[in-house]
Formats: sequence, structure tokens, C-alpha cells
Amino acid sequence: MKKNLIYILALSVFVIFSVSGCSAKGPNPQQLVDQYFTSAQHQDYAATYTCYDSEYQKKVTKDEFIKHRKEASIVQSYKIIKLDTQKDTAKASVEITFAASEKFKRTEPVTIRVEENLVKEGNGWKIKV
Amino acid sequence: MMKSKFKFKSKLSFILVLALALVVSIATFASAATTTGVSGTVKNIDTGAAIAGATIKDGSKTSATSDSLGNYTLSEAAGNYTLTISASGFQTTSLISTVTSGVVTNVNFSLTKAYGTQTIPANSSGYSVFAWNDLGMHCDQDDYSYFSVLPPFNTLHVQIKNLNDTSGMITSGVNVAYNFPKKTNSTLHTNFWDYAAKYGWNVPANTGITGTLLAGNMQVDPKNLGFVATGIPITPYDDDGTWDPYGAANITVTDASNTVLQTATVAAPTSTEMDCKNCHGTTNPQLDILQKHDRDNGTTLATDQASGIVHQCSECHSDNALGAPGKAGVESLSLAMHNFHKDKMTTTTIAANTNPGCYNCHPGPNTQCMRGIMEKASKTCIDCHGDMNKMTTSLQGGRVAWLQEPKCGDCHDAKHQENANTLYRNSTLNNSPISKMSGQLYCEACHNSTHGEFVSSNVKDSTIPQKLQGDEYWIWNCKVCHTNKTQKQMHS
Repeated sequence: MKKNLIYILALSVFVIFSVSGCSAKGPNPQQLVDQYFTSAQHQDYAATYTCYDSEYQKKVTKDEFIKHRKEASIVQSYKIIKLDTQKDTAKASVEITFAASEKFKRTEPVTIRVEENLVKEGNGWKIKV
Repeated sequence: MMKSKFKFKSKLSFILVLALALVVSIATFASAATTTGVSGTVKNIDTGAAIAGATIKDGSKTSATSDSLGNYTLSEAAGNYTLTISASGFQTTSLISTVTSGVVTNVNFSLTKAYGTQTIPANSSGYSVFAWNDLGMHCDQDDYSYFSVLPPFNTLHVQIKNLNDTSGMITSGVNVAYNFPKKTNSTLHTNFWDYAAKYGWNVPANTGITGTLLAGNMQVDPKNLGFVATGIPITPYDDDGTWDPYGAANITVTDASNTVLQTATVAAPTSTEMDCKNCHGTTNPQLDILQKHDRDNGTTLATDQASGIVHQCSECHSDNALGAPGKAGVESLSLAMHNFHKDKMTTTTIAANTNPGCYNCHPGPNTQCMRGIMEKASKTCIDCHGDMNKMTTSLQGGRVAWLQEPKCGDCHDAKHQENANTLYRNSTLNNSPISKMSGQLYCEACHNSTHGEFVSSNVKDSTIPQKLQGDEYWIWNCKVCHTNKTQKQMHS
């Protein structure tokens, strides 16, 4: 009985720590890049906005970002080609495919490779503009 | 004896009291009687805190000292004055003021912290590269399917100095290349080129209306003082879709053998934050604009657009930004816009609450076009340009939009005036400590463009002084260009 109780307690402590650890820790560079492009892919630009560093967010409001991001091309898919992580910075090379667009008179998707700069901010990583 | 002593003492007291009363009354009279002169406050430009003990001189013997609240008053006769202010720990600066009889003119000072004593990074770098954008901001549109006000267009300037060579700025034997690492394909996020031909610009995709590309080599400028790339077709959109009105260009200077001599990074401000929607609705503000234009002017812009015909505003409204002559009898675009909208800026709550009101049309609450030292010194758009009524009357009175703009010399002292009949952006240093420097260095090379004058509140403006000088100030240190010169005043 006592052994079981200790086992349950230890398990609870482990679960609590891992859950809280997970929520307190921000995304790693790979997760951040995924979050950045997946949210853009889903046109959830409010979520995309949260991926930018505080310097960008200080200058551009969420509403203004969303307004302008809606005017730009829609991300159809993306592929992370390379990700270099240093201590406080990271660089991701990403291939983005933008969807065909009536506004841009584009009948076919278009693909471009971009470099994304990442910086460590707080407990996680952010996109640096 | 005693009586005479008492009499003498009494007399002395009387004289002392009289003198004191006289002094007090003179002082009171002086402070109360300043009905003609200058008064204002002195503040720290960074913190807004009052500066006490600053000395304000008018060029003659008259001076005043700011009190604990930073207030000062100078009694002056009517006339024109150059007021020079100095305070310990701050840069000495001057402003001009016209004093009218019976009026106390308000002149406020915002002082910048004195220069540092850091090692000047450029001094050991061999070459100094100055780079800047011409206007401090270019406007662009998110959509060209209804009309075109301005195309994607930005202009960058570069000047180069060899620190080991006493001759002037370099314009031969080097190649100056520019590129925007995050903006390599404007067609991704603008439909400008889908309509360019309809607007009369037969240019290939990603090519500006002047033929300039998103990356390339700069040309020697018309004054043969530096290099320029005119009409770079960038937009505020990075390739990945990020909206960034302060996109950065990399400048690379190479010699004939393609060896890199120096690099620089400079912002090319471009924004699509023209909030027509503040008054024209969010559903389709562009169509609303065309319909209202048709209603008020008997044009057929909306029906034309529906049938695939689009118009540039400058087809009818002359526009010196594009060198477009417009049609005779039609107001210039600047005049038409300010004149028509001058009494409509409070039509909606959002427009009325946009501060400054200019940001309803000019970029903008997020872009913060006005970000330079003038803004830091609490100057507003209106302080230099006037309000919409003044914009209208000045243009109606013959002022030529884009070619006749506010002058630095209207407020600053003679040392800091533009060249005669020349805009700030085309003016050069003409009162340098070494005569052969005169006419060599553009004002903007050291002070940056209008709206983003150093010290700017936007760090993206400050890349050049940071690299050359190790601070955010205008270029002030002689060692930025010369290896072995002692420090002197740049404007002497």
C-alpha cells in the first residue's frame, strides 16, 4: 500500500513537472518556424503575429499586421531546408510555396526560398524582422 | 552725539530700504513687463525632463537662464534673433525667432545629450560609406486593381570616402551594389505589374518605372558626388509575407578587382499604410473612392474600372512626384487631396481620433513616418508643413508640391540652412571647417532623410552612424572620414 502510494506520488510529481515545464518553455527554433508557417498556411494571422519578436510587435499592432498580411499571398505549403541554431540566434532556410491567386493574377503556385532569422526571447524563440 | 549717530543710522536704514524697494520693484517690473520677447521651456529630448540652468543667448549681451521647471524668458525688442542655448552635458544648439512688438514668442528647446568619447569605428575601416533614402518614406499601394496613386518606388543614395585619401568623395574606380535580402521578388505580394501597362508603364515584373531593379549596381549621381539607385520597386512586404515598412538594403562597395572595400546596411522606408478605409469604409474603400469621385466630378472611373480600364490619378492631376503634367485646369494631386479633404477629417470617429490627423492618409499610426529628431523634439507634421488649410492655400498661392517644401533654415540658424533655392535632400555642406569639403557631402549623408533625421526613434534608421561612429547621432566626428584630423565643428 505504502509502496503504491509512493509510486503514485512520484508519478504525479513527474507529470506535474513535465506539464508545467512544457507550458513554461516556449517553442524551440524548429517548433517556432513550424508555428510561423503553419499558422500562415491556415490564415490564422493572429497566431502568426505572436511568432514575431517584441521589437516588431512594438511597432506593428496585431490588427494592422493582420490587415496587411491578408493583402499578401497565401502560404500553400513550406519546407524547412536547413536550420542552424547558435546560442541566442538561429537561421532557417525555408522553401515557401504561395498559392495561385486571383488578386495577383497567378494561375499557378509559386515557390521561393527565404531565410528566417530567429532570436531567443524570454523562454522561447521568435522571428526577427 | 548720540542723537546724530541715531540720525545717521536712521538715514542709512532709510536708504537701504529704499534701495531694496527699488531693486524689488525693478525685478518685479522686469518680470511682469516682458510683453515683447521670447519665452519657452528647455527639455531633455530623450526623457522630456526639464533642464534647469540652461543659458539662452540672443547673440548680443541679452541672456536668460532656465529655472527649475526649465522655463525661461528673454525680453527683446522686435526683430529677428538667433537664439543659442547651452547646458552642461548637452549639445549646444540654435534656433531662429522673429519677435513682434507686444508679443512674447514661444520657442521651446529640446536638448540632445552631449557627444560621447567612444573610439570611432570608421577610423580604422579604410572606407566610410554613407547611405540613405531620399524622402524618409515612400508610399505604396496594397492593390492596383482600381487606381494608382504612386507605384512601388524607392530611392537610395550612397557616398564613399577613402580615409587614407585627402581628395573628396569617391565616384570612380568602384562599383556600388545594392540588394534587399528579404525583398527579392515584389510580385509575390503586389499586383502592380499586372496593371502597370494599363497605367502606361511598360516595365517587366520586378522592374521599377525607371527601369531600376530590386538588386543591381547604383549609378553615379547627377552632381558626381556619390551614387544613386532611383525608383527601386520594393514594397513593404518581405518575401515571406511579413509587412515591414523599414526593409533594409545591403550596400556593397567593391574595387576594380571586385575586392570588397566596405559594406553598409540602410533602411528604404516604404509603406502601404494609407488608411482610406478610415472614411471610405472597410468593404471596398477603393471602389467607394471612385464612386464618390464620379458623383462629385462627373467622371466614369468606377464603370471604367468594372470594364477593365484603370486610371492613374496623375492622368488628370499633375504630380511632380511622377513628373506628370496632368490636365490643364485640373488641380494638382496634392492640392486636390488637401483641398477636398480639409473639412472632412472629422467625418468619422476613427479619422477624428487618428493622431496626428495626417496619419489618416500619410503612413501612419504603425509606420510612424515622422520619427526623426524633429518628432523627438515634439514637433508635429503641421509645424513644418502647416495644416490642411495651409497646405491648400500655399498650393493655391503658387507653391509647387514636391519641389518647394519646408526649409530647415526657417527655424535653424544660418549655419544649418539648405543651399540657396535647393531642397534639403539635394543640398550639400557649404560651411565646412576645411574649404575643400564644401559642396562635397550631402546634408542627408550626415543627417539622414527628412522625417527620419538623426537621432531617430527608429533603430532601423541608425545603422550608418552606429557602424561609422558607434552612436545614433548625426555624423559629427571628423574621424569618420579622416584618420588624423582634430575634432572641429562641422558647420563653422
